[in-house]
Amino acid sequence: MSAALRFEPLPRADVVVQQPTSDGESPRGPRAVTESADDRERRAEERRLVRAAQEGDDAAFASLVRAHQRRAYAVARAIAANHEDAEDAVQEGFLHAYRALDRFRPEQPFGAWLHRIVANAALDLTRRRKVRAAEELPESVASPFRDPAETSDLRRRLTGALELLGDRQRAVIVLHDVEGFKHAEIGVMLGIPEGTARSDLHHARALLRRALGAVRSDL
Amino acid sequence: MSKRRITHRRPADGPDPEVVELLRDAHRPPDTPGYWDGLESRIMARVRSARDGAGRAMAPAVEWWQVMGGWIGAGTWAAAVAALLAVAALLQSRAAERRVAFTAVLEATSVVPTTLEAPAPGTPATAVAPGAGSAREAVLRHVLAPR
Repeated sequence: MSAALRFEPLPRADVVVQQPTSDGESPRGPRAVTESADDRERRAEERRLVRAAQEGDDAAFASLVRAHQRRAYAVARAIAANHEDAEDAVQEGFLHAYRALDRFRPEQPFGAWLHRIVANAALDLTRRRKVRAAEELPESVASPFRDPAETSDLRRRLTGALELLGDRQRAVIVLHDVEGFKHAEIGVMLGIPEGTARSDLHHARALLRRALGAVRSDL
Repeated sequence: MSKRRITHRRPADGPDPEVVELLRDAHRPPDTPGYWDGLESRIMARVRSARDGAGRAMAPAVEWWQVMGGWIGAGTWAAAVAALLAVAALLQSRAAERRVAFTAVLEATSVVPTTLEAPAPGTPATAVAPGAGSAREAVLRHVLAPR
């Protein structure tokens, strides 16, 4: 990923992986960084953009899209089964956010609100896909997007191991361990209690560890 | 590989760095040049389309009571005028009826004899009615004439 694509409003989860506690969440939390002057300035700018967008300024909403689309994609990708569904969910999510913008209070964090909407869109899309897949024959035409998980044997096996997980467990482990969201944030996004998110994470880690432990010993 | 497994230490329930790295690779967003600009354009196109569509759909969405509210003033005036016209028509109608009744009474007294002049001996008794008499009046006079 190029440096230009690395703009994210919130830090990623690398800190969590490097300094885990017993439950894998940093003592300070992935987002528990003290708010710097830059952060305050960014939040103030975001509030200004939200207010302008609420008054009908398209350019302001486009700026919000530009600032949040990568993170929104990460949320959607953790829930959706593939890239295309994740992209659809991101578009749906932003559309829903635009329609509901009048009801959003600018003093709240826009990202958290947007992530919840995108997560809901991704969950809806996943449910619809499942219903359709149950009704239709499997597609014979391959997707033009090549999933990076298929580029090596270990990754292919990881894909197999991920299929052993339930959709929710997969979403929880990706959102927590890869994207750095807290249990509470994940619970809000997925509409589940925080304790359920914690339990899902525990089971997902254990299952993947078992599945990939066998693979590692083969390699 | 085995050496790395031996030296690798992590909390019992903590994240496995290798699994995390694999997961990150598996869920890595597209890094095609221009992908994010394209996604932003698609999102904004959908937003504009939805807004324009909503604008067209929302503009005439006025509730029925709001439409009726706009007509209250005109409706009140129209009802008042109609009521006045009705009262005037009623009064005019009553006056006309009274006039017709009065005329009818006057004409009736002139047409239908109320008193009969005593006939002279030897002459047939006739009712005296001024003006031109009709056949009906003639019949009446004949019927009412004493024999």
